[in-house]
Amino acid sequence: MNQDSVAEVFVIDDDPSVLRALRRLLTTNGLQTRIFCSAEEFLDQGASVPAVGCLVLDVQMPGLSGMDLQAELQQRGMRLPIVFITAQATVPMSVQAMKQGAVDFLQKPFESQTLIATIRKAIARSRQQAAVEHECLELEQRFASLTLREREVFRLVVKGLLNKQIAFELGIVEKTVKVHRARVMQKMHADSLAEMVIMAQTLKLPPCSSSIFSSLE
Amino acid sequence: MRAPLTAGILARAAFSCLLVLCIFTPHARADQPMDIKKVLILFSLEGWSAPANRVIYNGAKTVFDQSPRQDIVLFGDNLDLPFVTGEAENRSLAEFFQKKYARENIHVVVPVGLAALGFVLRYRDMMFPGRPIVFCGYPVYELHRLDRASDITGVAVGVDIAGTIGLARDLQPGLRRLAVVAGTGPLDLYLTSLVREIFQKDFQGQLEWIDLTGLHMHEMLERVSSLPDSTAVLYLNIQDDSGRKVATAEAMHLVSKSANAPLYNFWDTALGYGSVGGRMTAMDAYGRKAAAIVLRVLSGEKAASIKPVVMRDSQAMFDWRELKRWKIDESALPPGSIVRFKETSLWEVYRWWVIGTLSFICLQTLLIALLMNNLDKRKRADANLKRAQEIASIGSLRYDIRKDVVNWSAGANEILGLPPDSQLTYKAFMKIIHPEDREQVKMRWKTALEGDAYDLEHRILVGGVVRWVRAKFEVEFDKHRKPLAATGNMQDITPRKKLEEETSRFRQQLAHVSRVSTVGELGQNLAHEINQPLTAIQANAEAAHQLLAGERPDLKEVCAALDDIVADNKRAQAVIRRIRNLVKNVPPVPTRVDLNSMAAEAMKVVQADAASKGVAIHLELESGLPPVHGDEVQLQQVALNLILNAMEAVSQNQFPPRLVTVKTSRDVEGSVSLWVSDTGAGVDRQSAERLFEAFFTTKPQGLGLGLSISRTIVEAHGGSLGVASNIDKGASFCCRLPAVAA
Repeated sequence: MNQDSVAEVFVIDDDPSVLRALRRLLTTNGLQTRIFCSAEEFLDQGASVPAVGCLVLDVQMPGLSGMDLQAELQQRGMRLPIVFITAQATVPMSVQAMKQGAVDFLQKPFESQTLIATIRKAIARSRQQAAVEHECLELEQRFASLTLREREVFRLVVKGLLNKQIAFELGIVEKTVKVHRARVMQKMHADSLAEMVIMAQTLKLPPCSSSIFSSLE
Repeated sequence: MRAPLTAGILARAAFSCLLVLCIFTPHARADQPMDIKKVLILFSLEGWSAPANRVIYNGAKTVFDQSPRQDIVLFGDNLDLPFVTGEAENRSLAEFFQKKYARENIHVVVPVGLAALGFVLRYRDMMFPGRPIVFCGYPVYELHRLDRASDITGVAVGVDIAGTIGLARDLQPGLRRLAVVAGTGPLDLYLTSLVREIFQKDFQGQLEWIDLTGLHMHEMLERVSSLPDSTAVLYLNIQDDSGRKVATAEAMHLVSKSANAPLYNFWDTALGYGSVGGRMTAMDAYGRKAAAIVLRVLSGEKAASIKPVVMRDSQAMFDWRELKRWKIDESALPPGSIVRFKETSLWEVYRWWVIGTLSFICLQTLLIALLMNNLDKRKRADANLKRAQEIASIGSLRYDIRKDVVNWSAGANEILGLPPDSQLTYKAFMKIIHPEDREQVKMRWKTALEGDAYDLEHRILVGGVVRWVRAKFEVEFDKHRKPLAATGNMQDITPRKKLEEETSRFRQQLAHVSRVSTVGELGQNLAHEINQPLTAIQANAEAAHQLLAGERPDLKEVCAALDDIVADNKRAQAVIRRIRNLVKNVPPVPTRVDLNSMAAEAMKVVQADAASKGVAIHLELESGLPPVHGDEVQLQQVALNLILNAMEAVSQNQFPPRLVTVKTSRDVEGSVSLWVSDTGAGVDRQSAERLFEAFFTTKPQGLGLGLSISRTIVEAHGGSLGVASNIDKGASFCCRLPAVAA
């Protein structure tokens, strides 16, 4: 299956002739393309945004500008990568856009191939992002399946504590710790301590303090 | 007191002194000749040469003339008694008179004076038998003598001798002597005795009597010339019966001339012949009173029954010249004195003449002065005008239409480059006018001949050099509205025109600079405007390329891409054309401009800028607007300035709406308006007017020329540009332009 086929490109520009030309170009290059003539129109259609894809966004538009839309999408947690296109770029504008996570900032008129390459890069990033998000989601589900005790053990393990230290910390015997640890690794599909540490990082588990755990006890 | 008579003298007297005055009233004589009443006045001597006689006669005559009676004829005659001596002569004289008046049938006889009455009474029966006598001037002191006479009455007089002597004493303080002058005639003697009598009664011891009576004339004159001090001469009468015969008046004159003392008398008629004056009786009253009595007698009264009238009234009378001669002050005269022969000065006599003449001369002088002044003013005004004309490069011209001759003043020589004192016909004059303006001048001239005002600026050719002139003429018409001539002025306005052209060029340059600066400001966004179609073209071209490179190219899509490319290309061209229009520097070309398309065009220019600033521009264009006359680029510049200002105003808004509305509308007064409203902060009243001043700006980077230039442009198009605050938010600029017929 073509990688791009699932991805969708949203082109938002207030110039209909530019919109039409870009759709023609992108379609010809095998990219699924939807066009919107204003940021507002795009937001109204926002429900059907796919997991993978990118935005090709004109900076200067009446009403909500490209930058405004970028901020709005971020607030809404929509993480589609954005390729800005502008007929009139300024350095501060492009710096801001890039800081906010834009893939690129293209100056009109641009080489078609440059745009397509940038879009592909954006889609790749989207795809990667989607994958990361997918993995994260799975970890969270696994983590959710852990008992409270198991979560405590998990936290202390990734903290680098030895089993007997954990036992001491939790006030249980070492053997019980071992059992919990084995179950945690099984539930979390972890093969090694290193893997568990990565998972903890992905999950962004808060560093646990023994005192807190003590109190929980 | 009877005068001797001699026949010789009688004859002489009869011939030389006979005076008969017959004064008829023609009317009375014609109707009733038989009823005429004849009155004869008889003088004793001198006849009409004696002033007293004349006065008495005239007095009587006046009374007769004024009486209602028209039937009286007055005769006057002179007896010349002093020259008649002796009984025989007297008788001859009486006979003569009897004969003389026999046919006249005199009704009343009026003898004047003592001697005449005496003579008439003596020969009454011979001369005028049975006729009543009305005497006149008979001495009052002698009235008693008439007691026995019948049918007689008259006027008796009393000369004021005492009064006269008293008067002399008053006028000559310290008077000690009185020299009495009299001749040897009957009257003289009578008067002398009378005076002596009065003197002895009233003045004896106070004054010394110097007797100068009965002297020969030469002796008399000698005596009077050597009188002692403090003497007054009382002149009674001089009638000399032996030696020189002189008339009383003449004698008095001679005596007075020689006398070294003032001379007094008491007959008013003698005044003026050397007498200072005296208390006098009015001689004409004798005549008048006698005449009144005559009238009574004529109307049937008996003379005897009429009581004689006595005249004693005296009046102090003086001869001004003699007063001067003897240095007698007029103020010393008794009150009510009459002063005669006063040498009235030219001023007194001719006062009104003098005043009139002087006034006239003054008026004339004034008038002349005024005229001179006027002339001078006019000369100065002319000179001023000439100078002013020179300075202002103005010349006067006159075209005589009937003669077909154009004349001009010195000032016009220089303007027209023509020799002075020459003239041209209308045709020749037209050749001076610049060929391009000739038609216009001819047309205006034609309408001027129909009564329109002629005021035109046009060019003339002077020796191959173009000059601008302003010509203003007025046509004179005759009463039939036929043009006679045209007079006017011509001014060389070349410098002004040059300045105007220069100013206009500067203004144009400034407008251009402003436009270029606008384009510069819009530069980024204009790039956007071009980049948009370029982007589309690029994308379409590559898409088409890729489509064609495919195995089964979708030719329909390729065609669509190519069509889009063409369209975008055109779009880019339009943008470039707009920019070029704005930045090109050409003189304004007035055409018909549609405000709507102009506004739309202006909006296209700023569209990108508006988008970049997040400003929305609304167009509300009224359809079917009449066009305006003007330069499209300049008007678009105005629209651009207004829209950019509005955009600037709203882009400072922190929150939307950032809205600019461009509206066009048709006004009732035959004009159209372009409104540009914003939702910005608005303008306060103070800045509202200053906004249009050059270099007034509220923007940190603005030059402050945009609105000033805009207003200049609009006003040059005959329109107006103003600003007002909106009711809710922001301000509205309104550019109003006169519409032309579509």
